[in-house]
Amino acid sequence: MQVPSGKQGNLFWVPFFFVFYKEVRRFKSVFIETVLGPVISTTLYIVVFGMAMSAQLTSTNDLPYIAFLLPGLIMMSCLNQSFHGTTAAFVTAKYTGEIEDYARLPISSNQLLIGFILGGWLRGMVVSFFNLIIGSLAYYYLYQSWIPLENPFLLLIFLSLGGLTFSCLGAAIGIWAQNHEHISAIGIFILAPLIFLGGVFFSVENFSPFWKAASSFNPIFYMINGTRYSFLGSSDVPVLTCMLVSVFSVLMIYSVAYYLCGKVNLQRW
Amino acid sequence: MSQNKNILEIKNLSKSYGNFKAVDDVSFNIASGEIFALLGPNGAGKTSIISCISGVSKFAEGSISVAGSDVISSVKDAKFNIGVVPQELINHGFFNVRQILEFYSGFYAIAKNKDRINFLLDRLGLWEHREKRVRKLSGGMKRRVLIAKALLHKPKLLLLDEPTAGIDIELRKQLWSFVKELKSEGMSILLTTHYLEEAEQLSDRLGILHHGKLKYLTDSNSLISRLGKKIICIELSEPIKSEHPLLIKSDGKKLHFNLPMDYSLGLLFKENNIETKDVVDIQMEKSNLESVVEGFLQSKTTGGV
Repeated sequence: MQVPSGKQGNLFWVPFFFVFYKEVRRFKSVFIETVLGPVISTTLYIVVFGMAMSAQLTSTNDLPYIAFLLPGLIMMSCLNQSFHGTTAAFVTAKYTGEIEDYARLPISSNQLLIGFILGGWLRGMVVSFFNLIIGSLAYYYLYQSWIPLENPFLLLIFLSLGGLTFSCLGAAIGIWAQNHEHISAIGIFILAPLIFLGGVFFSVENFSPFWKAASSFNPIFYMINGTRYSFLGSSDVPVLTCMLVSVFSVLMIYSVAYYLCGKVNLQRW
Repeated sequence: MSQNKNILEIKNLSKSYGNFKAVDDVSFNIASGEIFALLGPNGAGKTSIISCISGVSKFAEGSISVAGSDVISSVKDAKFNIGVVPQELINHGFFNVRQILEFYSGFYAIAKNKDRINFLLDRLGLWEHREKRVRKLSGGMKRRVLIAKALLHKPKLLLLDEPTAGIDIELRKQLWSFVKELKSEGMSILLTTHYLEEAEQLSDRLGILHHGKLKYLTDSNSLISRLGKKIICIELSEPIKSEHPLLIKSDGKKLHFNLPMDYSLGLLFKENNIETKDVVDIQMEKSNLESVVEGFLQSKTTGGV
């Protein structure tokens, strides 16, 4: 005699939660690679650029250079980890063949995408949290005072928007990619230039007019400035503009990922 | 639910990949509690039909409904009633067997499914492997995990795409027994297979697919006994001379016969005046699917479905 199945819950929310939960368990199971590694990488940036070079550099508002650098580093790591969170989710699913399972399951594109995207976003936020702690401790060690954090709520919003944007981007690339080379190419030729020219290490006011104009088309520039505003209360562009560009980026890139999800034949590699 | 109610209804299904027509105007139904086997050589269109039913492949022509839900317009409702065991194995790199079954229960909206999971782990011989990562399991064990995953929500229709390909005889027989148990509980099953014996053992009805067309629908035993062949090699201690019409080769001591599947060995011995005490060895080779399909295609007794 067969044992019956358990009781079915809400047909939308329960499967959606399990997509998200499985993704969180996945990145948690490789904690060293997904959380510890990025935190150590950011720590090295803090030690080399923030602590060793801070003495020779000053930033706006006469604050030490590390106060300028830390918001940029925290956002940079958040964007990177959110991006890699969702690309890894799709790449793993394509390698193991799980991607074909998802097509057979009663899970819609929205449930799958949002579940994966929130998983990537959470990975970015967890890494950001640890980076914030380490950065704050480094600042305290250097100046015996805590780094100014003007608006913690705004910081949470900008990190979330940045994380979601890049989590959506990672999903779009993960769906589109036919092999590892595609993912690497996007990282090297698009992501790295956008991040480095987005004003992580110095103000775009120091750029030549050409690069300064080019930066105004870079959504990361607005996200980093929004984060910096949350810490310092000042940035290169108005905070409202940063917010609008960030929200628009999330919506636009999610639409692209959703379109690709319906268009691309999701097959195992 | 009435025994006669159709759980799966396929009407005039056609599926093309570019200019290649993989499925060509196929129609058939499966009733509640019925096992239907789809036979056919590689590339005949079996997996394409499974993909269309399970919602993996889109199709332009025809219709498919599962438990009354159309797989295009009510895809989610249909999927909640289907369990699929795909042909290719899935590794699930990061998780152990129990975790995977918990996640997949959740995907079918069942947040707590411990009793069913324990039952399937036990019934499919996975209990002692439940804490092992799926990718560490052998091919046969991974196939059991696929079957467990497909049954977590107790679907009305189970799709088995070559479920016993590449697994040993013992496991194959265990699975056959489990499939029969599922049938007795009222589950409808669509099975694709290369193994005639499997179709013979399990299915109530079967269809032969050839170049995407469903050529024949029948009850399993009649087709195999009518079209299947067995080659018998009898080795004797003393040579004999035989002019039996089904003899294909003889050196006096070793006689090879090509017999219909239902031809009795007793009759063959009697017709050739063979005494059992003179028999040293008997070897038998049953015809494979390809030869049955070939035999069917050569026979002109049917005009399709």
